Amino acid sequence: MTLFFDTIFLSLSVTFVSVFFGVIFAVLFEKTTLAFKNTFLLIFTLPLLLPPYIVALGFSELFSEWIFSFFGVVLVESIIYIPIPMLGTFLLLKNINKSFEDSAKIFCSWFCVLRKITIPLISPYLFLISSIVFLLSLGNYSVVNFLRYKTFVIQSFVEFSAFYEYKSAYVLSILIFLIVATLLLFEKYYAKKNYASIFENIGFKNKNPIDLKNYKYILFSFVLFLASAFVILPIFTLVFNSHSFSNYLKAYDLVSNSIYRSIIYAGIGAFFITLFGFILAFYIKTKDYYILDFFSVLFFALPSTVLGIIFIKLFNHEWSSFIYSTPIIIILAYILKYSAISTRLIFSNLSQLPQSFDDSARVLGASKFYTILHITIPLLKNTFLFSYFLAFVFLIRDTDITMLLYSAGNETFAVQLFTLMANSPQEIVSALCVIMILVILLPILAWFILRKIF
Amino acid sequence: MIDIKNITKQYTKNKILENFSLHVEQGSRVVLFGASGSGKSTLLRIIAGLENIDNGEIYIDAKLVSKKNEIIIQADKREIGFVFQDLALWPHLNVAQNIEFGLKIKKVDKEDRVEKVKEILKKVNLSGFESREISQLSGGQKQRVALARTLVVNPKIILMDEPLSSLDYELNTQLRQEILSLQKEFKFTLVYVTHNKEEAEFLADNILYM
Amino acid sequence: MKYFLASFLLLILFSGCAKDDNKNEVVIYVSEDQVFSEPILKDFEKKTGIKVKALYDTEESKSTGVVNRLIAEKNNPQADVYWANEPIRAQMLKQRGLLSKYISKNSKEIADNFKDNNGFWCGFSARLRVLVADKNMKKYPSSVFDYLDKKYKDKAVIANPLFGSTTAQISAMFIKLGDKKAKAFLNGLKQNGVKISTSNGESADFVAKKQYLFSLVDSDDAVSRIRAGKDIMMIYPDQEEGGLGCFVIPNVVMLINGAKHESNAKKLIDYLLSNEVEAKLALADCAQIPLHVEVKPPKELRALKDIKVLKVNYKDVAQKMHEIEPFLKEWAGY
Repeated sequence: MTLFFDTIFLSLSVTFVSVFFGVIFAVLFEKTTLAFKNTFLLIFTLPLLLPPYIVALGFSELFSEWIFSFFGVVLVESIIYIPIPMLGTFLLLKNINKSFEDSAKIFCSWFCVLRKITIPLISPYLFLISSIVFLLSLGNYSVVNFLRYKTFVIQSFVEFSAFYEYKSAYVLSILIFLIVATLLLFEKYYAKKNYASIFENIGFKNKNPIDLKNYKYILFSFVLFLASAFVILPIFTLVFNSHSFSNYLKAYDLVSNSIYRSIIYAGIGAFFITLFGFILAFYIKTKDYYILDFFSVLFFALPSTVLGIIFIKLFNHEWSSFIYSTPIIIILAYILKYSAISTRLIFSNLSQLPQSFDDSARVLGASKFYTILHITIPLLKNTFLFSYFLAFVFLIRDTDITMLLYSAGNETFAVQLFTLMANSPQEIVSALCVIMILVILLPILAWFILRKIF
Repeated sequence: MIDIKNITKQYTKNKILENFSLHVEQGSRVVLFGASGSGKSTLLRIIAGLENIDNGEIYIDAKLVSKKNEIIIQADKREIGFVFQDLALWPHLNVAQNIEFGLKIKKVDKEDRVEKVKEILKKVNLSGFESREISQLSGGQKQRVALARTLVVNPKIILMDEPLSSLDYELNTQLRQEILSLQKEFKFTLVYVTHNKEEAEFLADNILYM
Repeated sequence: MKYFLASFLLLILFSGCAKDDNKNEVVIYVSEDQVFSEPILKDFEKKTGIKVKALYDTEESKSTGVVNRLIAEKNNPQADVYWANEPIRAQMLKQRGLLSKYISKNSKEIADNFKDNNGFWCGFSARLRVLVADKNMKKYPSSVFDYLDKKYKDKAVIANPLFGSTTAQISAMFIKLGDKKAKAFLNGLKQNGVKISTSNGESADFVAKKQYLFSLVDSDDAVSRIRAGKDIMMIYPDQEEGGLGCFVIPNVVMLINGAKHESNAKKLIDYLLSNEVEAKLALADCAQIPLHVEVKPPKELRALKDIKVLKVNYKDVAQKMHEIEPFLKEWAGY
């Protein structure tokens, strides 16, 4: 029981810190005249792109013993998860109806407008985003394991690994089931009254940045300090420890096949996650099938150990060898594990589309399917692209579920990096980490280019 | 043309319409006038087949289209035009693409579509606006595009839900003139919702106070 | 959107074209560190033309992650061969009926205590459980019981006894010392503030970084740090008269029951048990001690015949490990 409450407390702390700083950064980078704000946005997004254990590795190289504590875990996990509330809030602030803020600006300062109007307006969505961070932290294995902090996910893994006991993993899953149910009920009750259409029509934008005046140097220094100390330095430590270019060549030689595989699996998996997410979001919105939301969040929160056991028991038979012994099993596991991200992202944007957009298509003779294809989907294309690339990033850095299910000879880059960390020279491990960053950054660049094209 | 017989519509505990009946003659102009929350917009949605009814029956051209808890003929099959209050112009499509949407559904071929779009834009005084983006249009221009999109498919009935409410007096006056002349030209049955008395008196053959 | 979908379809096509249809293959699950085992498997591929599909364990779940896969896949095994890095879990797999008998011609020269007497598994390339200590210590520890010495309170580290070679050694100590003394030893570790690390490698690194004074690790962890120039000393524990001796942990290879590529699996087992492989593993950074007497040990290590070893039957160790599970669970706080 103590372990249970300790784990909840840890996840709540991580959620609080990530959301607090995530919102501050989002406001600074979206609404103000802060210098180099786009660069800062990119820097603080970087930890999201890496397998969490690599971020933990970078911090441990830099901060020695101190990092192996409750505060260390909170720090590392917060750095890893800040990008989620930061990017989510950034998008919300970008699309909010500016007239709400403009009408309040007549009465008070920008700080007052943010505090009394903007943040309260987006608070239901912030709650959704916070719940994602909470669940990610709750189910995290690699960081807490690396930093030697015991949580009940670690316990579940140890019970499974050391004692071959499945029962305790199932019991712990029931606990997570209860937490997820409580969270969703609270969210449904709280958000029900607050889901108003507060956003401008998609595609219509205007800008009115806050002039920071006397505060711009202090805020710039503050953000620069945070970016340097908690993102740039740990990652730079990895680069520095790789020493020479020849190490990169040696490292690449070890992992070239798995890089290729990782991109394929993540690419295909992200597509199906986005597709599945859209289908779920659509049914949740149009038919109120909240049970779908519940299950998608539950599978997201469940420890990968449990999901792995379920998949092995379901698919490890003669008749299903074509699934189990191939990458299909990993793709299926990814869809089950990560659909919640896509579902929630698409749902929140789908909710913002005026009902009249659909209705006007229907009265013009379009069937429901035609309306979805020609009206709904094109209006959500940016959301789909964002969902695709977010899913891609999560999949390419996944180790927990992949490790349990990949078939021999089909390991992904993230898994191979994890296994090579044992007894490979430090320079090679550092070089591999840097290669991992590059592998993930390339699709991000592709995303920016595609956005411009579409 | 439109026969509404003793319909009731309720949202949770609120009865929006109760034993409501209405008969609309073909080619006539009926204005639904009343305060907010009186069920005017709901009635339009029910006629269009976008909402069902809790009781009663609705006939269009003597065909039963809706009955208790059942939409017998779906919205896409009723061939009714609808101009929404927020106009619902799709921002990802330009003016021509918005207007030709209904024609595409009816599988009208490309050349005919281009011709019809050109024609209807002329009728609403927006010639040459085909490739404009919706975001580039003024309030009045958007209104005309919404009208054009509805008219181009030749519906027998057009429903309008406070389409001019956000326009200034001058534009409002100008556009209601245009609506009236288009109605006389195309001879569609018009069911129009407004809370503007002057608008109601100008457009209506019959005003229904709700 | 069209371009995006087109790129996606190209991606699927690419992956389809890249599919490997080679059926002349063998599937091996490996608990030995990938950095050491992979080159051996690649050499086998080159020599025989048989494609090796390997699945590796991670450091943290050392030997248990892959073992769990084997157990979970029992009814439809995916692996043909398992290369374990210790014999205890091999014995456990045998007890669960996951293994098939195969006596390789290359196992004849390996001593009986390093192989299953029914032919279900065979050991090769061993490592020892040794102490690594900070080179600047005035007096080095010489026994595992130095963990309980008050002068080393909060200054020593040991890998998690729930995993890997540490579990095996603890189980062997239970057999040699008896339950009471062994439990007292484990409780003594806690009382003397011994730090629990996630792995032997991490323990060795802690000592190398001078965060702790000494640790019990595998000899390959010790040798790799010495070769990297770290400031540590390797000690063979309990070598005195009456002392426990060094626990020896051979790698073990076994044929999986129901293997889909049986004949290739046997060829791979033969190869792993050959002098050639033992020589390679002795030379590599893992510095494994050959069990074939004619193969030279690594230069940093003595030959087995020159070391006092902890004499124990691995079958008994496996049995004891199962018996002490509840105690270990409680001791570890689970």
